[in-house]
Amino acid sequence: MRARICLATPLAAAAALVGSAASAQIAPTTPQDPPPPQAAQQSAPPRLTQFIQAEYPPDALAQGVEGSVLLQLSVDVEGHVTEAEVVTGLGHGLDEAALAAARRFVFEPARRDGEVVPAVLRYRYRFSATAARAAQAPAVRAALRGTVRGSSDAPVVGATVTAVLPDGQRREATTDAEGAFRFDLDVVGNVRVFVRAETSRAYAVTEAVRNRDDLGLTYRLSPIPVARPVAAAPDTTPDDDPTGEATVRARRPAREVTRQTLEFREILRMPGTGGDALRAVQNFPGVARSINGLLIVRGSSPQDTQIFADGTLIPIVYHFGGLSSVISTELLDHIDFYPGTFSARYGRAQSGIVDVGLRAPRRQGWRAVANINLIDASVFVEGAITRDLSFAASFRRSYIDAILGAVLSGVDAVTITSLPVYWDYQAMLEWRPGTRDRLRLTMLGSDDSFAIILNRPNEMAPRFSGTFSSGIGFHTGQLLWDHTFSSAVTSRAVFSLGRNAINFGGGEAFGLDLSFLQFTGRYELSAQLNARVRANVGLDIIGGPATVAFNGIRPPTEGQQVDPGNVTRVSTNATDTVYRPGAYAEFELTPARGLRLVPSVRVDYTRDARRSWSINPRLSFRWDFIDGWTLKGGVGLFNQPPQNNQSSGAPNSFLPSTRVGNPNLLTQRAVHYSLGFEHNFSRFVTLSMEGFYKHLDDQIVSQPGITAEPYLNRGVGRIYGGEILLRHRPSERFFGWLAYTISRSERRDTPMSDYRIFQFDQTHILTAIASVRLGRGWEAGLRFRLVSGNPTTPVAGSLLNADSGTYTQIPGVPFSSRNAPFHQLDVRIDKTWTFRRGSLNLYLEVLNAYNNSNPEGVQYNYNYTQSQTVTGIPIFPNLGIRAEY
Amino acid sequence: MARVNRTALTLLAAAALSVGCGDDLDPAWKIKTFRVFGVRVENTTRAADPRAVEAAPGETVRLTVSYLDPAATPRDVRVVWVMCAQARRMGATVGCDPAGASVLMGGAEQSYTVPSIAYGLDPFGRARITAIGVVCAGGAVAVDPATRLPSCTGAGAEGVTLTRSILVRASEADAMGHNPEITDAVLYRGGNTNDAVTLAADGSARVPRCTTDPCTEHVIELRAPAESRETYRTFDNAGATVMRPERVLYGYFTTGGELDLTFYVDTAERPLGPVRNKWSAPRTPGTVTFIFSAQDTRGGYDWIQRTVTIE
Repeated sequence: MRARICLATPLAAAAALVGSAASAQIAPTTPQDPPPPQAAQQSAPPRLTQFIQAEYPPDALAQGVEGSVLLQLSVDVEGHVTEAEVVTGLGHGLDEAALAAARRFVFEPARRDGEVVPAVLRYRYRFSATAARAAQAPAVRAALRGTVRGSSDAPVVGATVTAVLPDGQRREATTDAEGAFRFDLDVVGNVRVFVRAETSRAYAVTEAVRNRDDLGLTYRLSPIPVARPVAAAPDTTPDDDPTGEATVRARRPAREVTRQTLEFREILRMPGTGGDALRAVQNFPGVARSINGLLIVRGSSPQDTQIFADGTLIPIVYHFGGLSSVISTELLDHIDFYPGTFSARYGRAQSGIVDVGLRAPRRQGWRAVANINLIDASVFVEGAITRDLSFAASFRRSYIDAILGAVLSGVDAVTITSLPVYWDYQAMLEWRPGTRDRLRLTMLGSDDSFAIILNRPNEMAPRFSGTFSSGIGFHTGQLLWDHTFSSAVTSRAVFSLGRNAINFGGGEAFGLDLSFLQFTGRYELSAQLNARVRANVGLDIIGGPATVAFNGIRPPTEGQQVDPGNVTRVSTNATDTVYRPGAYAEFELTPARGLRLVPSVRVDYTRDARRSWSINPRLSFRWDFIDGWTLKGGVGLFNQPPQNNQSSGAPNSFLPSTRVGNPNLLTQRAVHYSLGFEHNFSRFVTLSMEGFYKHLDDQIVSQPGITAEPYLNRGVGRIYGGEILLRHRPSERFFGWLAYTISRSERRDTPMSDYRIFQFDQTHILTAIASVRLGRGWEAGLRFRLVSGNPTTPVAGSLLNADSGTYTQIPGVPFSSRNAPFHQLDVRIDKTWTFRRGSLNLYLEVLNAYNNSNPEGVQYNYNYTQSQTVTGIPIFPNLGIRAEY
Repeated sequence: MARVNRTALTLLAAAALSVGCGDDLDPAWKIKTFRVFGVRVENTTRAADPRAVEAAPGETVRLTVSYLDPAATPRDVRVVWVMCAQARRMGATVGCDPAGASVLMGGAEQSYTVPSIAYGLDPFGRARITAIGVVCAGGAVAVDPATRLPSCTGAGAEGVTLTRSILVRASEADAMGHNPEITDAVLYRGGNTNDAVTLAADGSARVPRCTTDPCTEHVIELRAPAESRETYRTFDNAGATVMRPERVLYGYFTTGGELDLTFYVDTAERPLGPVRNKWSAPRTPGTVTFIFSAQDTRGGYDWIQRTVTIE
């Protein structure tokens, strides 16, 4: 009996193949009448082995015409299409495009009673304009790989593994001698996986693949019972599949309890961020609202969170305190944000991690993007040089210098000597010499600078006048090498060398000039040892000479009240060598179905602390205890070295008998605990709830006055709270989330003092984001935030410091009062026009749409007898254009 | 120093750029109540060096408070000083160890002999005596015997609590610091340098009241001898030892009219420029009193008081 072939519509069309102007998908075939066992074993319809992508007619794409072309194809005994005709067409050139592509299809011929026979079949060729426009999708966004094993745990060699991607792409692989297979995916979402082997039952399952996932899977097949049919249809769903055997499944690299990942559309369209990826991070639960771009994660100081670009530590993440990030969004593959209990591959941080992943340049064709708004302009270009060599480059420059220069030109309070400007660049060259290797050379750089003369001395600090300048920048070259030893063993090596520079001048009273020749190296080896154990081991190091010239008062530590009459003057010019190697080992264990344990340990050495060695054991788990429900938790120890000015043993020129810092400091330490759950309500809607507690000790606290130990490990802290994230991942029309954090962060600066509120503590943080595609290229989004006011320290009185001629406040109980709550609505409207060779996106973003006067601080008069509230930015519209070619 | 405290720098920058922008707050130049502007310290032992501000143990200094009481009937001013040879700081407040502390009570001008004891170094590397004082208008002064903190009491009394340092010379090899000096204040009517009047303490200088909108802006220039500003040894922002002119802070305060600035600082970019400030006269006739002050970073202070008749 000949199997009847009908045409199914793919589940979704979300993305297109890289470098393709069209997105065409072929539907998998579905048997409507299951064949009898014997027939199924001896007869088979033609099976597509080579799919050809149709070119999307530009006019049809511009008009948004999409749908399916139903074709009838004749396939000969060699699998070639001999005839093709349109049964139901779409017009607009799509019928011809579908025919042209289908005529180049290659099939495995149909069989009847074991003999190859010609066949006639119908195919529905779907054109998705949406997917075609998403042709800029990253080349490789995730990996799905694993091992197929039999009931005896022996690898199944020659099994056919088929993956049907969310956009209908179909990939097929044959397991090797170790039973291994691998797919590099350019789209993410729900991937349907079908496993077939001659002597085993077929198996089908749906895997939820997220951006940058590296799924390590083990499928265990059971033998075919006698006289049972083989359900070979690849789009049989798991629920339909009566023969599927339970498998051991392991997701990589969910080594951490919580990892939040932003998808590209969320980044581009998120209201209030100007399409800037790293600013979007501030909308996740656990991140406090900040007016100056500081990342305050789960009640910890900004310097307790580290930012990496593909494993390389970068000194800043935002230009000028949050205007935009220092890496082009166009070059981002993903941003992983770990608010706590993170993997042992990260160290030297006691709070959180932001890991920015750069994407591979496209390997076909060229693409260029220009983005212009009221603050800055950027260009981005990428393309393939040869088949194996591709590049990408981006440059951005602000023009707030022009705007501010015009505004300040008539103001006699300041004389501008160097207008505020920032710029950054990224350049990338990627070479794939073979299927096992990928090498990438990347140059990253950023610079922020300005200098002004304050002509009007401030009444509170009149000596703070004269030239006021600031500059911060970095220039780094990075070499990345991914190597695949086998399907079970991979490695990544990342080395970087660059210079970080910070200079800051405040007249004659304050000056800082820092230069750090930073070398970083990281090597990680990942091996799937067996079906239940995966090991990741790695080494990483940061080091290099740092030269600093500093003149000013000793920087205060968090929460310290600066007493102008009791500051310590520091002056130094010293060179020190940073040397901080580390090593880690991590095991991903799957002791039972749905349970994943990740014990790990990290060892770090720091030459600039008395406790040079730190050993950090960590453990996290995720347990899929019911389908769609995951229990998660973790505990771990985290060490963070002192800042170099705190541990510097360089002499203080101002007070020759003293030193700049205290070289006998210990590393700061934190213990993280977290427990929560996740639930997938649907393919798009997920819920995550998590409680956390952090205990901090050996925190570094500045000591006022002259002392041989200007910094001591006397501080402790405790932070506890809960986070909720209800998220709707991007669908065809909508994305958004509701994030809520409740927390309390406290510090105790000396063993004798009471706990006080942390300087940036925010009890309640509510963020709601929604973005809707309205059709015809229109998209609208909202962001609403409701956040507790920042803590403030009341003024109890003042006294005249007759040495300086100004009044000094007498502070009350530190952080014992708060600003009024902050609430703000940001609105974003996008209109996109699609043309034959590109698209144009016009967006209007209105910050603080209802012009709320949010209190950000308190302003006092000269002797602290009068005060008034300082408010944040008023309503601020930002208009921008993004053009893509 | 691969990583410095960027948070502190950011906050410092933000604070520096944001404070002082409150339009609804009284500016410091406006004298509405009893005000104290500074304290001049002079070493009276060294008669040959009349502007010397530092004193060695055993030498005597004179402390003179610069104040103005705008009340219709000027009140008696009493001053109490607690001289802390070994000051103890607790946060932003200052206390005294009983040893080495002494109390002075009197008027705006008092003398004190620097004791011969072993001095510690302050956060700037100097030995100093911290004087904690209260300047009290229309009331009585006292010192709490337990805390040794001074106070001002009495109905209707106004007091200002203040601190002042007396730098103790450890070695005669060190360069002596001196008080700056203001010799004159010259008013250019309408900003016209050809229409100048030197202000006097007796109100003999006359200025028309404001009758226009906006008011005519006059310019007040402070004059000082060249030696008023000293050069001293310090560190530059690269940590190197340099000889640098003092940074002198000039203050303008008035009981009437509108000043443009409270302070004027001569900066490295404007080291020798004239010390000028804009002032517009009040709309009503009467007298206006000015306090002009000069303060360096090494303990030096000077002031003059001038009165202008508004016609």
